[in-house]
Amino acid sequence: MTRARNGRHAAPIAVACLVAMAHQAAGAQQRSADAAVLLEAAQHQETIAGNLDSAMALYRRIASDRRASRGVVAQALVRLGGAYETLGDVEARRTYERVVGEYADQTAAARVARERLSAMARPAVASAADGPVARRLWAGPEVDLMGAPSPDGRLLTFTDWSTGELAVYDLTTGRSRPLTRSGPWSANDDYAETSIWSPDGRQVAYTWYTNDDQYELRVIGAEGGSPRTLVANPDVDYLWPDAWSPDGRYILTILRRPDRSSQLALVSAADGSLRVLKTFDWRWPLQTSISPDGRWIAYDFPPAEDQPERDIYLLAADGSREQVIVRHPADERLLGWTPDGSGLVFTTNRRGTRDLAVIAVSGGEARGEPRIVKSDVGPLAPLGIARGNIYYGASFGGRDVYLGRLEPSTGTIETEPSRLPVRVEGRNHHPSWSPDGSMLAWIAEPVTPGAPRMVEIRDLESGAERQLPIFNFLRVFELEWSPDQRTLYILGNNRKDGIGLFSLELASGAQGKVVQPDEGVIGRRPDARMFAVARDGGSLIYSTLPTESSPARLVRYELASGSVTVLHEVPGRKASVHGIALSPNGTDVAFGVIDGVPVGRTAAYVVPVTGGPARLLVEHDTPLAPVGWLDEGRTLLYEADPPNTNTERPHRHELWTVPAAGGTPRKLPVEVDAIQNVRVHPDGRRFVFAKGAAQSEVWVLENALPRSAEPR
Amino acid sequence: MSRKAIAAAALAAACAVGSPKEWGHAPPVPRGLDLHLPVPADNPLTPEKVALGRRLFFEPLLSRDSTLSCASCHQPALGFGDGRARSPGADGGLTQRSAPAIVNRAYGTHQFWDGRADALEEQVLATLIQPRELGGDTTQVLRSLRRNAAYRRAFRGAFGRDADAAALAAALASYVRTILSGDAPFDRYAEGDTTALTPIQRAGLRLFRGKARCATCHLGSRLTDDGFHNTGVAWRGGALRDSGRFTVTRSVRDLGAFKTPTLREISRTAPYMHDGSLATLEEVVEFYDRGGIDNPHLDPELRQLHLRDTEKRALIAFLGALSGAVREGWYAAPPALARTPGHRTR
Repeated sequence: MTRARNGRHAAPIAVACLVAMAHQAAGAQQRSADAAVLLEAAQHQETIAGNLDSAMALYRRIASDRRASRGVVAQALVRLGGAYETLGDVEARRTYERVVGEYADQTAAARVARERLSAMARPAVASAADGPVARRLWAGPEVDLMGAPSPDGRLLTFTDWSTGELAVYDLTTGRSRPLTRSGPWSANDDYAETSIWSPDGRQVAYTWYTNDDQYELRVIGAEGGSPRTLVANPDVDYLWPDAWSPDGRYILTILRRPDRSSQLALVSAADGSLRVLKTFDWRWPLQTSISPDGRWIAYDFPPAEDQPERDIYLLAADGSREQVIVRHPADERLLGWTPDGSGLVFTTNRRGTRDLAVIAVSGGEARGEPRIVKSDVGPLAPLGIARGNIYYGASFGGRDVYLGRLEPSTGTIETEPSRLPVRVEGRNHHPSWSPDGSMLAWIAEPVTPGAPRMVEIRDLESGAERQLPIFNFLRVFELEWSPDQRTLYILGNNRKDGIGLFSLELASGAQGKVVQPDEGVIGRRPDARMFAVARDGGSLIYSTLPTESSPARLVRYELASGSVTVLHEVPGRKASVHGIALSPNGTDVAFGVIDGVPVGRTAAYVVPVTGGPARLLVEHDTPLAPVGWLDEGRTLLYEADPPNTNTERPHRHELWTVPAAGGTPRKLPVEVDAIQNVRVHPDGRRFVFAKGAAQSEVWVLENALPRSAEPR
Repeated sequence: MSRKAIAAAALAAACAVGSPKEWGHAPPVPRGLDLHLPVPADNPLTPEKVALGRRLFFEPLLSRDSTLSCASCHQPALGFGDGRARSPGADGGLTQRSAPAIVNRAYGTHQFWDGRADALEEQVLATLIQPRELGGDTTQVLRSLRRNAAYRRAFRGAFGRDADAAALAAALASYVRTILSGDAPFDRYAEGDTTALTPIQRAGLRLFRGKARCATCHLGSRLTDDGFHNTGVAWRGGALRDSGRFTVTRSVRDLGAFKTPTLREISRTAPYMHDGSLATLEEVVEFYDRGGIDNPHLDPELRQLHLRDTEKRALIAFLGALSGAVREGWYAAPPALARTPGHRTR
């Protein structure tokens, strides 16, 4: 909270200083000299103080100042044009035309003015007579779906993952610019996540991850500047802004607490004070929306713990009432309010396709039944509703599982890897061989946003396959079979229980919690093998992250007693143990260590499963992770390259072998570009891996929403 | 004052907006609790109903021999518990289970230790006629209330009619909904005031959510999952002494399971567990450190904790941070125990 208080005091003082400076600059004697200062003050009025009228007055004053430099005047005119655009004023066009006509020598300003004129020449939306039209607005590797459209539908906030900065993409010009300026990844680990716009389009609220491993709620002006921290609370594990009240005073924020409960809270946009409206268990709304009159908050929520399907609820903004608006066995996902606030827009799969529906709402209650306004809109990740249009993200392609064969003694490819046919279009990853090698299991995440994750199990001989839903898993880091092939163990982040090791019974589909360490969280990386099941099935071998009181460890957990034996420790606050691979006879386990960040000493060891001194097998100049054993345990196969913490940006990996008895490591002549989760079959020849990444796009659905939810 | 200071002050004034507290609610909800106080649509809170319910809560006329009231077992000074393992009932015997602290029941989805009632309206009437509790006769109680001019006025004012069972339940339930505990040091910490908890309490909170596994069941702003768990408390001498939730669901997995109580006001509401069998928080922590009492239906979440003595002390220190301000009645009037004629305490 210290940072929040500092920010609260600092911003008004800074703005006050600028206002005072602006007043001084407006004086006749200093007009020329202070034009640039005046421009800065005007920008602060627009973006920080949120006083557009004041800002426009200052822009006009600069524009009329004959002694001001042409560059400053051109900049002021561009800003003035943008302000007119915000207000929907036709003066915007004339202002831009003046820049193009009178200030063509000011190339940067003139270019922006031309772009704006070009954008304004295009129809903003499809004609209503065209009916519902979906248009692609943005495609490419830089597309990110954590932002929202500005109220005028012209801009989209997003996270620029090349830097971690919060940024704005202009949907009409195709240009983007950063809002935050925290520096490159090499400087820090800070980054932005979910972001939303203030109702007047002048500010953006966003989630900010800090180097201190904390998520904060921050606000920044639409043109950048100094962000204000509204919430920096150590008793909040994660948070994101979801909706801004129409009067601009509150930001509806979802908090996830360390006990895994979730809360819907109103955060004051002025001072960051928060008031919890409603506490949920480990579930939370996927989408919330505040009615145009500010009185009601709509949200979707699953009524049953063991089902993913959601209903739509309405909560009074003062907490006084709550009402179910749509209750149906199907899955209903909220999009938001109709522009006139007469109803709610949502998608439903009650007819088998994902349809767009509207239900009329009055006085906090549903009026009548929902009606479908557009069928089969497909899977969409809602980004927001602006100017009556639905902005959404869509994902295409994904990650697939590939199967190949190599010659273990030489490491050469005998059979080129080929893509396994998959039932689920999306991300298929973390393949895992059954102990007898007859079956392959992997995680399948459908491309449909919010669709449940599944474990897909395929009998490679008969081709038979089955899918077991694991919809409560937010993320899966590893999948391993029990020796009797009756159980799959999952290392993952479960909505209800957090990060831990879980069991999935293949016969019944029943899931259970196996290990959730009390001290030290289980180590996890998306691209390294992170646990092993002992051959007798009685214990699990995994790693724990370093804590204040203990170093990174490799441990053996006894399933029957819950007792834990430390097999190896690695000192260092940033150390990690990963790449845990059990030898074919089950007596030893290989593992990789890194004892520092960004890269300290990196090595692979072997230690008896029953405990004892670890034997150094190989040291490497880049991070490594054992992936399996070849040649009946005589050779260890390992990946070398930085373990990748971002699954969306796969790295190039090298495959190496080293004799289990020790010796010179050898790089295999295998092209392994952008692959993950290499797993070797028990025969030591076949291998599988996951490869590929989904591509996201931003779309808008125009003319799909009725102005009113009332039946026509 | 300098121009800069004047400008800053003017700007601060112009930017001043209210806090979320202004959103208003009646009765006021203490800090830390959800602003949304669930109230059934067919029994909205009104000042008249709450005042009537409050009077009835302390009214001995509701019991069989006019010696007991709801407040006999739910005393405001004791966090709305009574400090006993089991409480004297109207039949002269003792209640089967310990009187729970009834703070924040408005948010609860199940009433009674075994959850046999969902709505508070249902719960209060069941308590009234239960022989081992108030043991009252509804017909007789209603007759007494109708004969009482003050009650006649109060019922007509609140409901527009004379006392009947539905109105009696609605009034009592309305009052119970206003019994709220919040604004504890823990709540201030949750809002971001890191100084609200002492270092040992913060250590206790980490244990609460980590090694001690308390937050597995005691979570959220109410510190309960509203679930039912078999911790082995009812298992004595190789047999189950109380079937608990099983009596409601007839599901074997609910044998010996009881509702997770809130931990709010925990330091004021000894003894503990559904049977009051643990006298102190120290005993409770020891109980869970041992992993509860092993029995065929023990909740799988329970296991030995291996807490060190310092950790046990930290845990208890944190539990002390869960006591705050208990509000009851409309507009948080202080709990002046207005005595009605014939009120006797035991």
